[in-house]
Amino acid sequence: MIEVNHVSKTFSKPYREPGLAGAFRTLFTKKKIITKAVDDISFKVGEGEIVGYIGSNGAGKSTTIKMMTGILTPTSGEILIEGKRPYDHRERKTILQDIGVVFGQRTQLWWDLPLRDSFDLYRDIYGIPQDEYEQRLDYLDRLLGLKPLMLSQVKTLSLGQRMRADLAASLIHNPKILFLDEPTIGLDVLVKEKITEAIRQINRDRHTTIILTTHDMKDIQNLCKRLIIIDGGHLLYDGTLADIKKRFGDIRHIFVLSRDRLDLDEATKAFAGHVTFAMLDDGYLEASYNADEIGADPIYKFLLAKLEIKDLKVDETTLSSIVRKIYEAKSL
Amino acid sequence: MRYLKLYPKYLKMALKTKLMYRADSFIGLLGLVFSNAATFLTLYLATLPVQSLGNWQFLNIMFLYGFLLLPMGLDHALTDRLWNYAGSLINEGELDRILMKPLNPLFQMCAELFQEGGVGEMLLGVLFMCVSGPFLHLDMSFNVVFPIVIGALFSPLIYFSIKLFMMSIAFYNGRSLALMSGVYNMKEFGKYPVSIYHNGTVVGGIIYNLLLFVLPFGLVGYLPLSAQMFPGERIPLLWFSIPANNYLIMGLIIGVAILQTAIAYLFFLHSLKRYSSAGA
Amino acid sequence: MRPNPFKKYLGFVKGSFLDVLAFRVEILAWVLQGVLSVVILVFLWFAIYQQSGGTSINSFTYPEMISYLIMASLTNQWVSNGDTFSGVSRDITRGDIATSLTRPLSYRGRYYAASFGSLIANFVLFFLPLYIISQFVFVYSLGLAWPLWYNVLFYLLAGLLGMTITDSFDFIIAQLGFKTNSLFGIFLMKLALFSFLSGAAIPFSFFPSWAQPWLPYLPFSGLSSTPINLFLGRYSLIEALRSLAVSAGWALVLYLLSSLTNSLMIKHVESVGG
Repeated sequence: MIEVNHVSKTFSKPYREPGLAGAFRTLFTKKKIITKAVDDISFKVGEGEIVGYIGSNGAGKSTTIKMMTGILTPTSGEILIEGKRPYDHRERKTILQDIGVVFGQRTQLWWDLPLRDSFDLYRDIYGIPQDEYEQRLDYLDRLLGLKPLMLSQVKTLSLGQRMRADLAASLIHNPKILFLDEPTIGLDVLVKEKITEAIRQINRDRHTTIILTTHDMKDIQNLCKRLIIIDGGHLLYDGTLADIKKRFGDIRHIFVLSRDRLDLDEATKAFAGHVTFAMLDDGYLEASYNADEIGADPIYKFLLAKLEIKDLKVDETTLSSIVRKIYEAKSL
Repeated sequence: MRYLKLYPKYLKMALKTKLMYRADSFIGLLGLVFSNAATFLTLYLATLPVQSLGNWQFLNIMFLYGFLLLPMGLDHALTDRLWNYAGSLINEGELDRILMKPLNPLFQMCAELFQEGGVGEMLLGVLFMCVSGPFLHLDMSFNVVFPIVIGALFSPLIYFSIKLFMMSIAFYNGRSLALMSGVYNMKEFGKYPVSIYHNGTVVGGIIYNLLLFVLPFGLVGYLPLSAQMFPGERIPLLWFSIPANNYLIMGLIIGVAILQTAIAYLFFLHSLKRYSSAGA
Repeated sequence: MRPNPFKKYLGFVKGSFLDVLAFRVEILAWVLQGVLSVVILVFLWFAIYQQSGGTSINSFTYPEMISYLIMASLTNQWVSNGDTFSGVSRDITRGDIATSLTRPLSYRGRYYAASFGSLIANFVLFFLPLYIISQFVFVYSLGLAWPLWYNVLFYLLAGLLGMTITDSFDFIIAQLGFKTNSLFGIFLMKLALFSFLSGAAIPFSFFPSWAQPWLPYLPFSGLSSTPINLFLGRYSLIEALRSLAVSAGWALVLYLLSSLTNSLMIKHVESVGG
């Protein structure tokens, strides 16, 4: 359904020097900075997949999304959505009917008017017949709880409410593909859950293909079976969550709260590097280990011997640590 | 056509917003009325000692000014958002939202805002015409009025095409506001009878023709009204002169308007493509 | 050694100066716009003077008129080009006003400092080169006399006072942003009013006789009419001193007024929350 073939994107921006002398020089020179935002990325996404697109800031996530939605043209390579290029002037018209986009940072709704008006206008823009429109609204209301918001001005909505509204607006025309760019940024836990549940439901009901870019590892773990990790414009990893765990090992974490302090160097030496110890900000000691390499038992025994334990938590593989590892490795 | 059906919907949204902030909308309207009134008063004071400029008595000048405000106001009302795009909107990423929809981007850019000040300008124009018209013994025969009206329907395109062209430069530079306002403000000089430039000097001749062809603000009001008010005179054009025939002038207006709009639109499309390859 | 209290404002002066430098296309556009508008005024007034047959209209000959208008345009470049209006109104509409007010700087003072920086930048970068060219035009094309040193001095002084006046007005008017969203409309009204009543569009002597006595006493005269007339040497010594005094008086009054509204605004924001 979506094909990205050896896509690269370079930007050239005029170079503005800082300071007084630099500002004068800028008046007369034409120096440019060339940045390669995306470097030879290829992947394919099939219908109905939910793909998480992870990368640090500036890694090239937004650029790729913009190319997939046709806002930017690749410098080289090709992107095909259902066989058509979204950035091509003629081919994009039909594609646009089938995609929906949510920008986490910006809204697509009319700020000063009641929510209902924005939806009505979208109905007209996408040419949705009235009865189908009503059905969609009902469906989206069940999913996201829109009815109480319909008469409120968009600018009076809280961030969580606005996000739900933006998500609904992007779905009103029943798109085949949904691009979500940081949809849960700044939201509290409850709203986040509601939105991720809604996304999951849409995918279940309509086989909507979903591409989700985010920083939030929890979102990825809850939603995506497949991950694409991008860093510095390069594709670092493309595979399922399960694969990642298998590849990087089954990392477990033990969190211990104690009044006693543990000598971290001594502890690390005691396990010959198989266990890493770290003090967290919330006062907990974190012991991370690869369950394939070492069992939990000796670690527990060690901790019980050294510390008076007030609280103990165990957690499985956290995606963030894996991703961190991948960044560190930077080659697979 | 689809866009004809969609535009009223956009208009409704824009107007609803205006009505929500009635006081603000009114202030916006007043602002533009003030600006035009101030310009006109300056013109009045300047010509007071002499009472006329060439063939043009003060009342002729006032009528011209009023007439000009109609197409100018109409364009102003409908396409004002382009200024925002020349300014900051492109950098703020607003264009992405528009490109996402299966709808002509230029249509969206213009339709999202209705500038009530433009209506104020049109009303001011009607006022000026009503005040000065009765004293002028204008030729109101069908063959004069009809081409003038048709020409006036195409005239807003002249303002629009210039704005569009200048705004599209912003796709290259990030901001083209200063340039755009600079060129657009040349329209102010179409408010005086363009004949004042035709005074025998080379520079004057250049400006005269500039105002008739390149930035054809002179075409919008001066030419048709000149023909109406002074039908006997031939009007100089480039290195020759044309008879003061209203149909001829109407043809000229339509031709120039369509040509300029085509050029501007093509440039707009080209710049948009450039935006998508250079990014924000 | 005690730290210089003005040092922190210097940053704003410098920052504003750098901002002006940063946009080269805009610079070009500005210059072009100014030049073109002057050219077209030349034609308009040529036609008017041709029409009148005589050499002097309302105490201005054609060369004097042209020099007046050119000086009006040039003066406007550095006296009335501050960012205070757009800056303050932006702060208000974006709600940044609360954070701006918590800084250890006078909010009013910082905008005045920034306007001062703009003034210097505009003066050096725009006014000076264009003025030098224009001055040669005045003397060699229009046949006017060179300005005397005290004309220039008075002009600069009047210009500075004029900047204070317009900056204070901008500051006060921008605060209407609390009441209305249509600051653009207000901006247009202000622009229209000021340029008309300051003598920038047309000299006071062209105004109807009932208006002429009190126009010079309005604060707006300090923006254009006073500095220009001083420069052109059209005032006797007494008239010159009087006009400067009027400007100075207004500058003081308006600056104090703007400080007052500043304090009021701070109180308002503290109680409402921006």
